[in-house]
Amino acid sequence: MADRHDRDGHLTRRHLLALAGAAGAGAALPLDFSKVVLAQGAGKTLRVRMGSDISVLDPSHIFQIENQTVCGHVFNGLMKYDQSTNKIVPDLALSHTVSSDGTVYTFKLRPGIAFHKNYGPLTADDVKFSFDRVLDPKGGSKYTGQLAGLVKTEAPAPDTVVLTLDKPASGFMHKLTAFNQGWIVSKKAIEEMGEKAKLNPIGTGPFTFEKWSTGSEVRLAANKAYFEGAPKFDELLLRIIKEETAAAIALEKGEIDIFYALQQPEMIDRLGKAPNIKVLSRDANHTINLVLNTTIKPLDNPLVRRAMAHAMNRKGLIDGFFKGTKGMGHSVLTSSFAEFTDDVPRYEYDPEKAKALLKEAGVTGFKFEITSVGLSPFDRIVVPLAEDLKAVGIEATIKILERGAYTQARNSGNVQSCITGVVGPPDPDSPLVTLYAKKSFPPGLNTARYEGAEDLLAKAAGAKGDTDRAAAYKAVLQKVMADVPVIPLYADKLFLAHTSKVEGLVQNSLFTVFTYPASLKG
Amino acid sequence: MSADDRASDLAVPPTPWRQLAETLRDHLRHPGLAIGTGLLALLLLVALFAPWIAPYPPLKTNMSNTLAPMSSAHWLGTDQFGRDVLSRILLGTQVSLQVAFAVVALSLTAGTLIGAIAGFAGGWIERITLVIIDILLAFPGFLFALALVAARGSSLESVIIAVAIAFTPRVAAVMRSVVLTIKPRPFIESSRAIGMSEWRVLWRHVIPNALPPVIVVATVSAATAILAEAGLSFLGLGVQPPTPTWGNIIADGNSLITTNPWISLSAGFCIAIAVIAFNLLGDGLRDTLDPQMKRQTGRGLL
Repeated sequence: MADRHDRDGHLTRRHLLALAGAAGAGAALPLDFSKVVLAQGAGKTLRVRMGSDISVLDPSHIFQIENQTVCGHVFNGLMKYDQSTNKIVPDLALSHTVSSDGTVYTFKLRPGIAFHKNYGPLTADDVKFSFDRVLDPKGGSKYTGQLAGLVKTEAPAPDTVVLTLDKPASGFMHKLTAFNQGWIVSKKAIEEMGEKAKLNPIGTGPFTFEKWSTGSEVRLAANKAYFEGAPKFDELLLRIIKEETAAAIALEKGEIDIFYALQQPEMIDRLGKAPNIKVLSRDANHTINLVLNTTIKPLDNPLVRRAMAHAMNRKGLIDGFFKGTKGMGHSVLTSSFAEFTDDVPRYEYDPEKAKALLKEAGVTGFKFEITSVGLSPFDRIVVPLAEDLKAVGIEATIKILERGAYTQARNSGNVQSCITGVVGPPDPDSPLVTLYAKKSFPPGLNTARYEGAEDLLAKAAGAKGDTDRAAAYKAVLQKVMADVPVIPLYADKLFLAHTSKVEGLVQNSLFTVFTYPASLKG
Repeated sequence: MSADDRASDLAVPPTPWRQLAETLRDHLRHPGLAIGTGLLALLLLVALFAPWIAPYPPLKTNMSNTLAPMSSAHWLGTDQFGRDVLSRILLGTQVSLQVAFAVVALSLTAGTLIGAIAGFAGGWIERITLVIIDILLAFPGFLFALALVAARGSSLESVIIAVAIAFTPRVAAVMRSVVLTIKPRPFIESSRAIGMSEWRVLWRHVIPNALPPVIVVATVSAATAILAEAGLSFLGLGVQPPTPTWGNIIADGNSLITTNPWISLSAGFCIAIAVIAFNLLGDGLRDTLDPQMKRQTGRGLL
């Protein structure tokens, strides 16, 4: 007994010591924090959840929503989309004029804009440099195609940029907005840093890039000298939380302030009901599509592709799986585009018609593999679709690949089908050229290897005036939906949840988040 | 009972079948072994007859009845594609047991051979084998499986090969140490003395005598194999959808844990049952195959 008493006493002492230690640490921590806070000024940090890590922060190579979210805070473009209306408004440009033949664009830059971290003032040379490096075939930019037709970039004066096109292009202003190839970099920074510039973005935006801790977080600091005014908080912390469930719990507990690109219907429902949490939603600029490789038999036959479109119960997917949190995509242009039309060939769920079409094509029971990426919901949505295809006699199987392997398989152009969504600005060329133009493969995302709309796409690019433009894009959509090399599965909707501490935030239609207008209460 | 009867009893030696029945009866007196065998037999029956006992086709989606709660029509409800969860779990038994048996068969065969040869041959063969075994043992098995599945692409074969390779060194290490204890025994020496070749000694005397402890290790590895498969499937690296496995059923239900917890929980329960069954079987075999342990633990549990 005595032995036990001793042991107990010892344990108690140890516990007491441990408790004292914890109390000491608890007392020390707030003190430390207050020091940090004092050093930084007001010390407000806005914490945002990112679903995945960043990789490249060079605007000419970006290609991923996490990278785009970071760069959106660091860089500006000549023009930008108004967050709530998607109208193109000036950003770094003060004004611009277009020559009467529609080929020469002259921009005047805003005066007194400086790059971050003492990289000097913004000049026309930086703008010219930014576009030149995207156009340079040696640069290997993924966005060279976006600036196709831009034949001459000039900087006649420090505040004047002249861009010359080979022929009038109705959608050229879209290419100059603050997104991907439109972001303006510092010539001095890129030239001095070389390869290192890929992870040290120097821009003119409301936040400066501070620190990236691989796999855990990205820190941005407020740019007090931002030309539209300093942000209303001091630091932007982008925390990587892969699991949506974990992110939702973190938001509910107040460990993060903003959860963007919210996907799972259950989470949207759950956070919508949670107290002190607001959920914003908006139609996205993209659809998620099943891309059929038209060079592989029997997918080269439009009848087979139409049959597949009729066989898949996409309405069921939207209502049953997504619980109505996505919309029907009749073409790859969603309603957030000015050129949107629903006057296109439609493919209602009709297994009997699908069977009849397959019979007409003389195709019975071919093997069809859907390749998808191991990310939710793309690894899930293919399951019921494959079942639907089986029901009309197509031997559908599913292959889920890890992200890297998936990109490799898709880029090879040899897979029968893959799941692709073109996430981008409300520029109709973004999905249309990317998915349907011959020049978009290889390299690119026209893994359907489709070439049937070349002349119509050229006509749309050269259209003058809004009516002409709308009619030209309608013709493109009608053609590609009659041929269906790409079956739109659903039109994405964007959901963003934030705590009630956050104010002034606007949900854009880009799948990214831009926190500059936001402020933190309390 | 007449004296005649008793005489015939003495005269006729017990047939091998009777002997087997007696041993079985003796073994099943061990509660752990009996429960483990019983559960495993049940799982095996479920796996074999899954396509017939499943109330619905496990792959059939029904988008108008997604996430149905538990009811008399769907005992465990439906998943986000309207598939019957119970049917999927029943079919998932097939994959899990397939992985367990295949892994045991592969790692037992390879591990036994490698370990026996290393232990029996001695010298530099033993030293080299031992170094390789140690390296493989030091490498986390699941990490190795992850790497292999990433390299080969995810499929049932990849999972089996990966887990089997991870377990082979374990079996080999045990086999080698048991062989070392058998090698100096007199009957081995006698076999050599009557002119048996080394291979024959290894094959006829060393391996059979060293097997019991190795079988125990292999049985326990079956339980770990089930867990490894479930883990890989949960990460989306196991069997390709829509084939159900317990691991991917848990993954499917993961995001629904607050609203439809039964999807993940029921699959998790099955994994627990299978793992417990294999562990009980392993413990039981250890106790009953070792005459010294038998007296102490087997009866003690009763």
